[in-house]
Amino acid sequence: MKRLLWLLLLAGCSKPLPEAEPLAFQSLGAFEYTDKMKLPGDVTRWNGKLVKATGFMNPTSQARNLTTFLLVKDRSSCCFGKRPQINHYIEVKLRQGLTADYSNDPVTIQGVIQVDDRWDGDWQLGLYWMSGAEVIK
Amino acid sequence: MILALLLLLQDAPAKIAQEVEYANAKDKPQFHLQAVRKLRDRGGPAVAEEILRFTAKQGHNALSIAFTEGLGSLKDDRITGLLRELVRDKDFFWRPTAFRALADLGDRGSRDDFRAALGDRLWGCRAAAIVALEKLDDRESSARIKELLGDDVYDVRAQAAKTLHAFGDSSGLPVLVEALRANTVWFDIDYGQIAREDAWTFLKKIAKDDFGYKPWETAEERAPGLAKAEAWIARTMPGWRDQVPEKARVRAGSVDYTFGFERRSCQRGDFFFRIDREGNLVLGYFTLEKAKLSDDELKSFQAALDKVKSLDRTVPYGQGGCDFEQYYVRVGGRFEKLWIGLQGRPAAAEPFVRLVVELLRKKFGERAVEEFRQSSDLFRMSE
Repeated sequence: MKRLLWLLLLAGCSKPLPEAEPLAFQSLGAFEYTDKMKLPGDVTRWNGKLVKATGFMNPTSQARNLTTFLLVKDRSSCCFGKRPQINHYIEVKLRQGLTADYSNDPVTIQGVIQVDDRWDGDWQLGLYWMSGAEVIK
Repeated sequence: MILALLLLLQDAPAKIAQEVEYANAKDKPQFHLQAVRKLRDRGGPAVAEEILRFTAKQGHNALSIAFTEGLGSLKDDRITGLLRELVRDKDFFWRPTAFRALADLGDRGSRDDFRAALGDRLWGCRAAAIVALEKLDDRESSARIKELLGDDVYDVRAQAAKTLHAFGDSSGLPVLVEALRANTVWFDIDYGQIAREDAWTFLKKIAKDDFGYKPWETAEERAPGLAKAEAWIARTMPGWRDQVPEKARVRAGSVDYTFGFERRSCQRGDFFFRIDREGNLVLGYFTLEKAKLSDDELKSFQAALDKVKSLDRTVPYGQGGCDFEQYYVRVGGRFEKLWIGLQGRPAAAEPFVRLVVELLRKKFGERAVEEFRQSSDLFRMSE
């Protein structure tokens, strides 16, 4: 019985981890967003998927040991003052215990993306969310 | 019904205050554009009053760039007055944006400020001032704008060419055609492509022909389209090439560099220099000035750089944001970057900064030293 349990456990462990799908920012931001609109299918199809996305970290005054940050699609909206449109960034929350330092080079983040138009009263909080994420490059 | 309306009216000042606060909240960048939109849709004197109250209390530098830009959509004399104050405040972070907002308001009363800004030390202000003068149809400024076809920075030259064209003067077009050859690369960033795309977007509109040119392709792939564009301008301006000002001429690229220093500051402007393989100190990035370093100077430079190299380059220093210094250090066959934000420069980098001041003075004079020093103190580590 014990041996059987070990075998089952090993079988479970050897199952390969799901491969993260590459997600291009273009496919998230290629539409004009209007308040509380029905999001295009091209966008909602990503909901709940394990993805890896490459973009730029939006700088805040903190440069080291970040646990959350906005990943934006291009250098101009990260680093030179332009504010990103709501469908041009992902709010990233790193996996517990992980931190990242700010970099103005492109970074690749892996995690499960949630496509969810979240509001707090009159204020839109965001469209794209990634939690339990890690910086892989 | 009346009660609901009264409640709504009572609630409005609190909402306006929250919108102004959110439009500028440093920890809520995702709210900036939303808040600006809400304020613009709301409009009216109460919005202007709250903005003035907030600015008086928090100071100019509490304003975000999105908010500053949004001021350009609020037609109120008090907002215009505030924008005039902002462009005159040399320490305000977003002066170029404030100039653009004033331009959006078409403020004739700022004409002299716009004219003066054609000589501003920040290229963003020079470019914005040209846009503003175009909006005011200030053709009296044409001669001064024409001089800016030879500016150090592509964006200013290009805007001058576009504005002159809007004034019915095509003498700036050679600058844009020449930019189709732009090949400026700052280490891993292809600034040439940015210039090529900008010039091409404008030229294809006025020529009603895209020349089959694609700015993102390789130089070889771009060659046939470039030839077409040059033939197009040559039909109306046979001597167009001679009209390209010295600073706008594209030089053959591919110089090998051994070190690079980049300082970008939203607050004070940018500064770039490199050391090339032949031991030249090379200033600028679109327009390059070169001076040979002696063997002793190169030795001192190397010694100061070694101290910089001893710093851990895997971590950033100082505060994040759009003001930073970046040191490109060659390690083997590639470059590693040391990133330093506001108040983050470690003591080990200070001798290097002092040496750079000395070399700049010796090779390029006080103007270069002044430019370099303009923002240097922002990065010094706080005591």
